Amino acid sequence: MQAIRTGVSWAGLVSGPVAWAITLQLDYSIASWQCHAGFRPTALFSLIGAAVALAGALLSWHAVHDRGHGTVPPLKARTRAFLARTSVGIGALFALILLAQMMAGLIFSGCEL
Amino acid sequence: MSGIAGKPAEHTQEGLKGIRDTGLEEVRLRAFLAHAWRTPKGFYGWLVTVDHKLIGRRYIVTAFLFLILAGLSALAMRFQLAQPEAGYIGPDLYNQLFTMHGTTMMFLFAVPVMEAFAIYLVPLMIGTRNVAFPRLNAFSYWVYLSGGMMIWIAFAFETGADAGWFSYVPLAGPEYGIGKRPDFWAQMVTYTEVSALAVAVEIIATVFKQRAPGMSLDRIPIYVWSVLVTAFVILFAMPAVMVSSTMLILDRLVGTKFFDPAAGGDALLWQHLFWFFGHPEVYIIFIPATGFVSAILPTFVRRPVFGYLGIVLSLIAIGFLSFGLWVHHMFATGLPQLGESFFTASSMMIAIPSGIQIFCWIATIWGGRPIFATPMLFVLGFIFTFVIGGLTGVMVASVPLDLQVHDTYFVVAHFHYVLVGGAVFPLLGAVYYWFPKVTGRMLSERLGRWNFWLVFLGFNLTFFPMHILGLQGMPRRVYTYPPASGWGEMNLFISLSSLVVFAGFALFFLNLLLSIRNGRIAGDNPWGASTLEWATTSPPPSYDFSRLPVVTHREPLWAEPDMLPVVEGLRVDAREVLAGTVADAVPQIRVPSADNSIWPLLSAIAVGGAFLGSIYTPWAVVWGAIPVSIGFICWFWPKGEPEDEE
Repeated sequence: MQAIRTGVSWAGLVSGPVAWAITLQLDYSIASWQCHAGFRPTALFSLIGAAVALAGALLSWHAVHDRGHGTVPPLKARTRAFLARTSVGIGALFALILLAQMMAGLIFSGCEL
Repeated sequence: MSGIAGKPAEHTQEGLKGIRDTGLEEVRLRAFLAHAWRTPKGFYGWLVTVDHKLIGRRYIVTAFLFLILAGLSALAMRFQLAQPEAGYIGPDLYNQLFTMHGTTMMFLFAVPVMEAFAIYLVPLMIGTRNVAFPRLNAFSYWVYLSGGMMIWIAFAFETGADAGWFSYVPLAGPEYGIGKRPDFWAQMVTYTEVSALAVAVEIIATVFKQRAPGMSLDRIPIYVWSVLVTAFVILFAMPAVMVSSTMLILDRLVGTKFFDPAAGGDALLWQHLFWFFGHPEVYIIFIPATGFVSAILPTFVRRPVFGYLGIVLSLIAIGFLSFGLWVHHMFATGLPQLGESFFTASSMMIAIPSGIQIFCWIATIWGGRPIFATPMLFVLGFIFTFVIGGLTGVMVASVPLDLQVHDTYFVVAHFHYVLVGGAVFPLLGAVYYWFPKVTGRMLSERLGRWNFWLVFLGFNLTFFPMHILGLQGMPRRVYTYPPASGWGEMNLFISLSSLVVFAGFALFFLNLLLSIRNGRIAGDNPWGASTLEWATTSPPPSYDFSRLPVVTHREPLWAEPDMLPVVEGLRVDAREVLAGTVADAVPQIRVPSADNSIWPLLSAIAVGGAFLGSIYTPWAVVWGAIPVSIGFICWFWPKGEPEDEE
């Protein structure tokens, strides 16, 4: 809970790329199977991946303005804010990429050769 | 900051041992440091040095020599293609030429030259005295040199690789690969990738641990960010091609069946492994080039780069994304369309971080006062050319269009726009920009402008028509074409235009040769730049900085134009650098830095011998391990030198 309240500066930096890498590999592996699945698991996984990426970005967003109630030295606080801002951007960008990937899963059934 | 890194000056009874720089007058300090960081004179010194500047320079010169070889191969191909059914070069030699051209450009020129600049510049830009693992640095150069020489000597003996720079199976496999040609290619990959991985490790450790005090993550020069991201991409991409090239050798030499579908192998496995490396490879070349642009641009528009955060974010995002695009090289292999479409999505979305960088650079120019010196011209040429290459990249990311233009000259045009426009233009700009720092002399601006316009116009005249040729259906990798195809006039135009590019590069090398002796004396900071490498002399001394700087601003030389604050307390009688925290660069410990040694060279010879022998017999790996082990044991054996002290 502490992490949610104060944020995690590097969360988006990790959550976005990791969610994307796992989802890409998973979706690619089950692309042929989707044809017979009766639903669109690739789109679902991409959506979950996007949610994870965004959750990380949100955690980082909380860290952008957290100064540790003055307990964190200014240099450390500035570096932390920089990392947090970068993480917000990375998390959001990868969420967008995962949504684009989800669109592919919705457009194609998996039965196309 | 006096005393920050240790106790105050300690003039002990043991002579120079343990003496610190605190309070030492500048002349004595420089004398001590010059002695501690010296490279012996003569040929032996050339062999044993671990100075990052000497090794970086050596890397750059070697890479440009390989560029000349690859360029001459291209000229020979254009000579053959200038008219239909020309008989100057036969199909066998032509196959070797385009393979050697691509292989050399990618493995022996583009990646090494980008790493070479990093080896030279990173310690200077982050305010330290050498890279981490200096002997590994020397080792990496010797391995790279031997790998490059090996494949070109093989070519001279008609054993040049001939299956394309990606050496697809089954063409390169045991069934169709001629003689030892693919084996030389595969082992050259092993040499160069060992070398690249070594440099990547050095760069990561150096940037993370050896930054000047105060250079927190948000104050790292963007160029350094770019090479840091590149080093990580190398670390994760290169093993894929090393594994695949080793599997290829095993198929050919030992009789394994990794890529033989008839025996349960998979030919497509090669393409997956190769392109899992191959696409990040494009970004290994491109990302440092964008770093050059972000370094050059602020100097010539007299303002900090716009959107520092956005550019850093984009570099990191591109680094990650580069690993999720590889299948777009395999759209024509019959993979499921749904699977392909995921890679289309990633391939198109990488345009976002690339676009962020482009807009940040344009905004930087917009808000500044541009000075159109030669480095700036190359940056502008880069933006124009790379945007075209990027647009055609988005086009070929689309499966239907890619299927139409696959293996045609459209793709040749596209990747030359990306690689030459996106990497070589900034690289040439970087040479003009940092030549004064490396040599102490300026390159001729007059020749530089001629150089730029010849290369820029010649390049566009050569490669833009290739888009049209590709759309007309001319395939890649053909040594000739029939007169009835109607491609003759366009090919003649392209071949003539390639002479303009050749003239531009000839002028570039002429400028280098003339200016290195007769160029105007540069001074420490001839461009009025803001980053730390310009705070030391041109060329820098062996120890880089007499006192390590302290960074208080992202543009340190603009923020503190008169004198930088410095660190004191380091030993001057032995090689020592300062290590700090990863995020905030707060000094933690003084670390010994390795001295000159012959063992990196001897180890590289042993490793090279084992690699070379394994082209002919698998037993070379077993017997070769003995001298390799001896080399490494001697390299790491404590010798009672200051670097071994606790």
